[in-house]
Amino acid sequence: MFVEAKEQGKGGLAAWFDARARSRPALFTAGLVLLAAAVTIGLLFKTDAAIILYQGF
Amino acid sequence: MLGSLWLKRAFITLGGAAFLWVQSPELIHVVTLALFVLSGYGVALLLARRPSTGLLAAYIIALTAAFVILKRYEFLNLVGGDTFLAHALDLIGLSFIFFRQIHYVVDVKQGEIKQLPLWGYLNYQLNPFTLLAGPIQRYQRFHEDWQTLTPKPADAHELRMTYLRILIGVVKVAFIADFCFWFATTPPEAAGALGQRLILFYFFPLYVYFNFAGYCDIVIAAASLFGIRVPENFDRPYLARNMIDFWTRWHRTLSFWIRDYVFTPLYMAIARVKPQWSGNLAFVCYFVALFLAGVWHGATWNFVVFGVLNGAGVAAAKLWENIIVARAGRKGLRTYLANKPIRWLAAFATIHFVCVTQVFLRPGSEDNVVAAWRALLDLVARVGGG
Repeated sequence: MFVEAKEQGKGGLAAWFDARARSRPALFTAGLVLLAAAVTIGLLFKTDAAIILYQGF
Repeated sequence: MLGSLWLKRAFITLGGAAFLWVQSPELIHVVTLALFVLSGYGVALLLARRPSTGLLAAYIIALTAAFVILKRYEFLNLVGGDTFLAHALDLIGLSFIFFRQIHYVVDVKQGEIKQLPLWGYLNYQLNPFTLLAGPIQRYQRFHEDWQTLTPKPADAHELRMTYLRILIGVVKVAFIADFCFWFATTPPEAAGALGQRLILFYFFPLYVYFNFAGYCDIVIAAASLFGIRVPENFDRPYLARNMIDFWTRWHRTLSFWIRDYVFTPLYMAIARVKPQWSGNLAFVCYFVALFLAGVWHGATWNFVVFGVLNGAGVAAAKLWENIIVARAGRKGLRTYLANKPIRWLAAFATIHFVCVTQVFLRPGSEDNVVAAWRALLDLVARVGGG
């Protein structure tokens, strides 16, 4: 898998991450969902939506 | 299968149309943009029937004039006062449409593009993935993808990696770039005057990089889900060893466009007419190409300075390479390029030069350039008068 990632032109850290992510799909999916949630919350806090939600509560 | 393709095409077309509709406040904007884009298609049809260098040259001159007026370049003041700047047309994505259009008509004339379907062309020019800020896609590749619109991620892992790239792009644009801009423009008072200037000097280029690279991550990954390959635009630019290297890593699609449609034709023309000049005039071609790339970034005087600095940077890098070859030969150049300490010293110098050029990308820098220019003229007048 590492070689495959290298053949696709990914080197160093990217190849290492690609190999790890491919061999642990469930963990990768969970991480992806967590990141998506964190980004969404972060975006909410950056916008007025967060203030509106906060005041609503 | 065909029905599915038709639906995908209709979805992308409607998405693009909705995006344009939201972004274009009045009908006059839509009509002007349509005329601008369709003129390229009309000329391409004529060129496909009868390839004519005269027609191509006349069209590129007319298109460039229309572009310069629509973008309200400040130097128009010098030739026509406010006459050309009085309009209020702000067309979305015009700078990138302009580049794609020139590429399209030139390649049609050269026989590189054979099939000219209108629907495909309009989506090439106006699809929401590349409309706003590139990357500058080539028509041939888009046309190939447009025939099937098969999503590019080949398996579940690649699909997850694509989603990850979109999220990373959002993080870069919405958090890292925003932080860099905020930190650069409101540095802590405890840093002192010099510290604040240094923060602005280093963090504004970081903002520019993360903002644009993050945007590119989002559109490249999103377009691949719809079966469209959008070319990569960045390759660790702040590790470049000189300004030529920098422009092959930074906004790559712009650099390659400039190489193919400005540098190479200019150099070939000179080499044909005056072959004995071609060696020395390569520097001039490098300067002209990167100067134009710089000026294209914006309509105000600060972008002219940005263009001059970048033009000078690449010309100097080429000159330095020639000096090494003249003194030590090709083998000496290879040894020089392989030297690690020199490589890191060169990267250090390059990144600082890039930071200097990006001073002229900052909001408000046009006022400083105009003020500096007036002060210089004033000084010249005083010296001349006194």
